[in-house]
Amino acid sequence: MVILLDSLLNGLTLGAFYALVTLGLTLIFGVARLVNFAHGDFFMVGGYVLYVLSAFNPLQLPYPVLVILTTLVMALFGIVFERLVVHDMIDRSWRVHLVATLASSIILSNAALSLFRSDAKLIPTTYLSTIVNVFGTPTSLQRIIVLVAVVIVFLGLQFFLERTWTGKAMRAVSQNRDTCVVVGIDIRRIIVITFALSAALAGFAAALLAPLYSVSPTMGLGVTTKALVAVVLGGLGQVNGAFFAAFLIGLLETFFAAYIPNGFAYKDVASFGVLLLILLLKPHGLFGRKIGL
Amino acid sequence: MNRFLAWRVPLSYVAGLAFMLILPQLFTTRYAHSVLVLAGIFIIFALSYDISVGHVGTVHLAAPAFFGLGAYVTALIGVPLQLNFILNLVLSAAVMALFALIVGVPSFRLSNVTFTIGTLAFATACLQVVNSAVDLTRGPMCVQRIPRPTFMLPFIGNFRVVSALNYYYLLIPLVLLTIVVYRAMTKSRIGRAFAAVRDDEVLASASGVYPLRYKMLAFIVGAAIAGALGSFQAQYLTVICPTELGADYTTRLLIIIFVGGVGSLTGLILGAVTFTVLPELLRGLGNIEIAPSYQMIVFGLILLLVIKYAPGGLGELWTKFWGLVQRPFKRKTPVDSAGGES
Amino acid sequence: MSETPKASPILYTRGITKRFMGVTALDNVDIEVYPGEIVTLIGPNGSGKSTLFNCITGYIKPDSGNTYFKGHNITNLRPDQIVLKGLARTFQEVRVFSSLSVLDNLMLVAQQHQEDNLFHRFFRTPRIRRYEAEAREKAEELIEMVGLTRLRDEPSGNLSYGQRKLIEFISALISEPDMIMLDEPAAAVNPTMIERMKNYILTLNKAGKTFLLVEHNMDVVMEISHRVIALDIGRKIAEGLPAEIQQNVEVQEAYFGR
Repeated sequence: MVILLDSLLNGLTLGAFYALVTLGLTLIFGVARLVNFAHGDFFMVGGYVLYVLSAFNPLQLPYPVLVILTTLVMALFGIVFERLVVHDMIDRSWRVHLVATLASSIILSNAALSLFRSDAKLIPTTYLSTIVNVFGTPTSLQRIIVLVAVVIVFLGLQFFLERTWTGKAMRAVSQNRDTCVVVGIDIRRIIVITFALSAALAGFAAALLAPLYSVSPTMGLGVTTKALVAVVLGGLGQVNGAFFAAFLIGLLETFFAAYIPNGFAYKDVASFGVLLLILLLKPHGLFGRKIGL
Repeated sequence: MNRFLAWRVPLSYVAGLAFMLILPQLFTTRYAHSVLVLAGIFIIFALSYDISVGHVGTVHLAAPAFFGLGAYVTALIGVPLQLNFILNLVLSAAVMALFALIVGVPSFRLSNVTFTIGTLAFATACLQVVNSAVDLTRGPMCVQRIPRPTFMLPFIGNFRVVSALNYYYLLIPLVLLTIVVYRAMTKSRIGRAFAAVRDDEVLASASGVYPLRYKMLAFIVGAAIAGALGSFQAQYLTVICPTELGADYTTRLLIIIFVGGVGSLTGLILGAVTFTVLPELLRGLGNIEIAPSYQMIVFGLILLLVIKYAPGGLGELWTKFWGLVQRPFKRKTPVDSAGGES
Repeated sequence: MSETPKASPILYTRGITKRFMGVTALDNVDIEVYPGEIVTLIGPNGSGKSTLFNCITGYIKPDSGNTYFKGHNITNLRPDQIVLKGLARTFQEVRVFSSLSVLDNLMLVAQQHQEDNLFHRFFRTPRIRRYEAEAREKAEELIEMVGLTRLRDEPSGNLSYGQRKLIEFISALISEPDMIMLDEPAAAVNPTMIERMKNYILTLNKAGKTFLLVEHNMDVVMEISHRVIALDIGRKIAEGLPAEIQQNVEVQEAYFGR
C-alpha cells in the first residue's frame, strides 16, 4: 500500500512534468501550426537558467523569486527564438518547420554541452529536502509544490484562454486565420506572444522540476519526444487531451518502472508500445476528432 | 532528352567509377582510406534516407535506429551463426524491413507529422533498449570482437578483409548497388508516384495512387538499406556500441540532404563527401582538436541557415548550372496563357 | 440531348447522411445517375454538394447510407480504389502535381490503370516499355486535343489557372473512366474556355461517357444537362429536367430566400 501511494505520487509528479511541457507544445501547434522539436530544449535551457541563478546568487534571493526570474528569462528567450528561427518560415511547409526546430535543438543542446559538462547538474532547494507526510508516505515537499502548481497553471491557462482578450485571440488564430485578419487581430503578434508564453511555461516547469530530476544538456530531445507522444495520444490539437495523455504517460512509466522487474530501463519502450497500440486502434488519438477532408 | 547530352548519364557513371577506383592511389595513408570509407558509408546512408525524405516527402527520425539495430543484428545473431558477409547484410536488411513495416503502418495512420513522431518514439525506445539490455547487448560496454569478413577468392584462397583500403574496395560495389536502387526507385514510374504523393496526397488518391503504399515502400526500402549498412559498419569497426543509434547521425544526414540537395543524386553524393571529408580535413590541417559538440553546433547552424535560405541546396545549383550549359542546344519554349482565365 | 432507356443506374446513393460537429451536411440523400446521362447537382453554398462528391468518391465516410457504382458497393472503398473502378473526378480547387511536367502528370494516371505488379515496376522489362509507350501515346493525344502540346514538358506548377484546369480535365479522361465527376468545370474561367469545356463534355457524352457535375453557372447547367438535382441544407429538394427545375418554387426559394 505504501509502495502504491509512493508510485502514485511519483507518477503524478512525472505526469505533471510531461503535462507542463506538453501544454507549451500544444499551444504553439494550435496557434502557429508548428511542431516545435526544440521544445524539450526550452525546458533544458530553463533548467540551466535556474542552475546558474541558484549557483551564482549574489543577492541571496529565495527560491520562489528564482522561479519567477527563470520564467521571465524564458519568456524573453521565447521571443528571441521566435524572431531568429520561426519568424521568416511560419508560412512554409511542415518539413521546413521540422528541420529548423530540429536544427535549433541540436544547437541548443550542444551549446549547453559546451558550456556545462555532460553530467547532470543538481539543484538543491530547501523544499526538496523538506519531507512531508502524505497519508503516511513520506515525500519531498517539492513534489507537492509541483502538483499544486500544475493544477494552478492548468486552471490559469483555461481562464486565460477563455476570459482574456489575448487568450481569445490565440484561440481565434488557431481556428481560422483568415477571419482573424478581417477582425483585426495581428497574427504575427499573437504568434510571438504564444512563443513567449510557451517558453515561459517551459521555464516555469523547469524551475519547479529541475530540483527533482536534475538537468543535463542532452535531456531536451527525450523530453520533446514524450511531449510529442502525449500530443498524438491526446489527439492533435486537443489541449485538454494532450494534458491528460501526458499524465497517463507519466503514471504508466512510473508504474512500469516500479512493478516490472528492470522496468526502469525500459520505460520508453512502454510509452512507445502504448502509442503504437493506441494508434492502431484509434488513429485520432484517445480524444481526437476527425474534421473535414 | 536532347540527343547531344543523352550520353552524359552512362559517361558519368564510368567516370565516377574510375574516379572512385583511383582515389585511394592518390591518397595513400591509412587515415585517408578510412575517410574514404566513411564517405562511402554516408553516401549510402544519405541515399537510403533521401528516398523517404526527398522523394516521398516523409521525414522520419528512425534512420540511426535502423542503422544501429542492423549492426547489432549482425553482432548478436549473425556472428554466433557464423554468417558470411553477404548473408549478414541480407539478414540485417530483412529484419529492419520488418521493423519498418511494424512501426510505419500505425504511425502513418493519421498524418505525416504523426509518422515523424512515431519514428522518433521508436528511435528513442530502441536506443534505450540497447543501452539497458546489458545482458543481451552489453550496453555501453559494447559488443566486441566481431569477426572481419572473409572471402574465398580464386587464386588467392581465403582472403580476410583487414585494412581500410580493403574495406573501401568492398564498399564500392555496395555504393554502386545503392545508386542503382535509388535511381530505379526515383526515375521510374515509382518515382513519379512518389512525387505525386509528396505534392498532393488528395490528388494522388484521385489518380489511383494509394499514398500509404508508397510511403511505406520508401520507408521500408530505406530501412533495409540502412540495416545492411549497419551490418557493414559492424564488420568494419568490429566493435558496436549504442552510440551507433545516436541522433547525431540524423543531424549529419539532414545536412547532407538539405545542403547537398533534396532528391538530387549528384547533390547527395557531393554533400556526403563534403560533410565527411571537410571536418576531417579541418582537423588534419589545423591540427585543432575540435570538440564534437562545437562541430555539432556548426552543423546545426548550417542546417538552420540552409533550410531558411537555400532549401534546394547544392543539387539545385548543379541543376541550374546544367540548365545554363544546355541552353544553347534547346529551343526556348514560351509559357503563356492559352486557355481562358477570369 | 439523347434519350436513354431506363437501364439500371451506373451510380446511385441510398440514404447518405453526414454530420460534422453538430451540423448535418447531408441528410438521407438518394441520387441516381443513368449511363449516358449528364446530371448536374445545383444548390446554394453549404447545401452539401461538395460533401456529397467527397462521400461518393471515398474521401469522406458517410455516417450512414451507401453508394453503388456499376453494381458494386463502393461506400467503404478508398479514393484510389474507386478511381480504378472507373469513376474519375476533378476538384473545385483545380489540383495538379506542380513538380511534375504536364506529360508526367498524365502518364502517372495512365500507368496507374495499367495492370502489373511491383516487380515489373522496378525493372524495365519489355512489357513495361510497351506500357510506357502506350501511356505516352495516350497522354500526348489528349494534350494535343486541348492544344497544350508545346507545354508538354513544362512543370505543371508554372501553368496558368486555365491551363491547369485543362490538365486536370484530361487527367480525368486518360484512365478511360465510365463516369466522370466534374466539380465546377465552368468556374473562374472566361467564356471561350467555358465553350470549350461544354464542347468537350458534350462530345465525350455522345461517345458514351456519363457525367455528374457540380455547377453554379446556370447557363451551362441549362444547356448541357439531361437532368438536374437540387440540394439545399443537405437535402434533395428537387429533381428533373432543367426547364422544370428552373420553374421549381422550392429551388428558387433556396437560392433567393422566401
